[in-house]
Amino acid sequence: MTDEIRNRMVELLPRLRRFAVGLTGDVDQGDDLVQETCMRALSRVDQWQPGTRLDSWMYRIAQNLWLDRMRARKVRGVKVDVEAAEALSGPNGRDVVESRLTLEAVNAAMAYLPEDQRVLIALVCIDGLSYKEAAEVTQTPIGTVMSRLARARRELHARLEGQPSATTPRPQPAKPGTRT
Amino acid sequence: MTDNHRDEQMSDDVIMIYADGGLTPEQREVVREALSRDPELMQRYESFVFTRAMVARPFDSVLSAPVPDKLLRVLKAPGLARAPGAGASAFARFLEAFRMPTFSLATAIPALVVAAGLGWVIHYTTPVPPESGGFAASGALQQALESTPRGSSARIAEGVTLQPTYTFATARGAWCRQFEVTYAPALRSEGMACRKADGAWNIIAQTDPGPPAAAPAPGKFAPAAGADDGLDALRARIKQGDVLDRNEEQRLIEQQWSTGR
Repeated sequence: MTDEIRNRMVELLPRLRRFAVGLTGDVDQGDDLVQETCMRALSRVDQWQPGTRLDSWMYRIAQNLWLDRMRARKVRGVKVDVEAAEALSGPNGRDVVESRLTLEAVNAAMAYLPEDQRVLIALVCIDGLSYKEAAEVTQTPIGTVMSRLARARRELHARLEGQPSATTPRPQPAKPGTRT
Repeated sequence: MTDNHRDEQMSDDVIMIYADGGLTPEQREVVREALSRDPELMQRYESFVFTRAMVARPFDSVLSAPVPDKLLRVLKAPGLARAPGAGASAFARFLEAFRMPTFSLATAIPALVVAAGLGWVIHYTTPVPPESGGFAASGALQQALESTPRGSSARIAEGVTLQPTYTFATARGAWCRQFEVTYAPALRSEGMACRKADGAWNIIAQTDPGPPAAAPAPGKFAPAAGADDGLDALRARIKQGDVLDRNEEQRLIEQQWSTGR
């Protein structure tokens, strides 16, 4: 039984790596996350319900590990010497990045999205899950998934292509309500 | 919620479903008609088409790349899968501790003093010359950044060790290293340093090594613009090319960071 699950996990590794790189924005960090996810999955394999999707279960583990990590970082706070960082990225760094759609460009644009939106981009746009499957992985109502995903995709497009941002106020009379 | 607002919300979802190939033929016809009339709708539609078609493509390289051995080894290692109720492995416990360190004020205060002693206090208000950027690392920290490969740790003070995590180049050809610092017994912080032309390492960013449980005091640890996602986002922003693998890094250290770049 365990051997069979291990084999199925091995088969999932390429997709899990792609998902993790989408989340973390970095191949090395993605691999660290996959490694941790596999260890967590193996140590809790009794919690997986046979008959349910193994990929969704592992994606959920990866997502939760990553969200935990991001939360811990946020609480700790980061101090950055902005000028030094900007100087290092070079005057035309951003133009170069955005002129072609590379992994770096997409990752850099995704880094601006809130975590819950980044998870949905990785699940739906990168891995190709349906909205319903993404709702199952994130354990979020499907309506919430769709509105977050729509907002994330418009924002991502704006960042990658220089289109008007989804968060830019529309010319129509402003509505104060925010969607989640 | 007004009708207008509901319409607007619905149409974003509907347009997205349409772009993803969903809806019945009749519904698709309605959306197609609306798109042909409304340029603003069309612009939103383009966002969904773009993100469906273009965003996944750069990730194909990850999907088709060979899976690193370290990941295969995890799944093939015997004894990791455990029976229900069994305790976590030592490594899993270590990872757990890594994410959620247990802090007490008693350990936090000396650690903060150590951090301050290393000259790691960055003031936003202090103007920094762009080319030299950041604050010079102390002697022990300089040495650790200069010569410690990823996967090793260097002692930089009593009870304080540094472990490099990533090494990469920037667009301007400077070498930078991301690193973790562990303060015995349980505190840690992260930082990033870049090497100037004269060989000195300057700290350009650091996380607070203080207790993570409490929210930072207002104004005290104000996150810098564009750094809200942490050091990994910063690394993504300033690096050019891939992070170095261990062999490349080892070679660079042996050549004292000179590659004729």
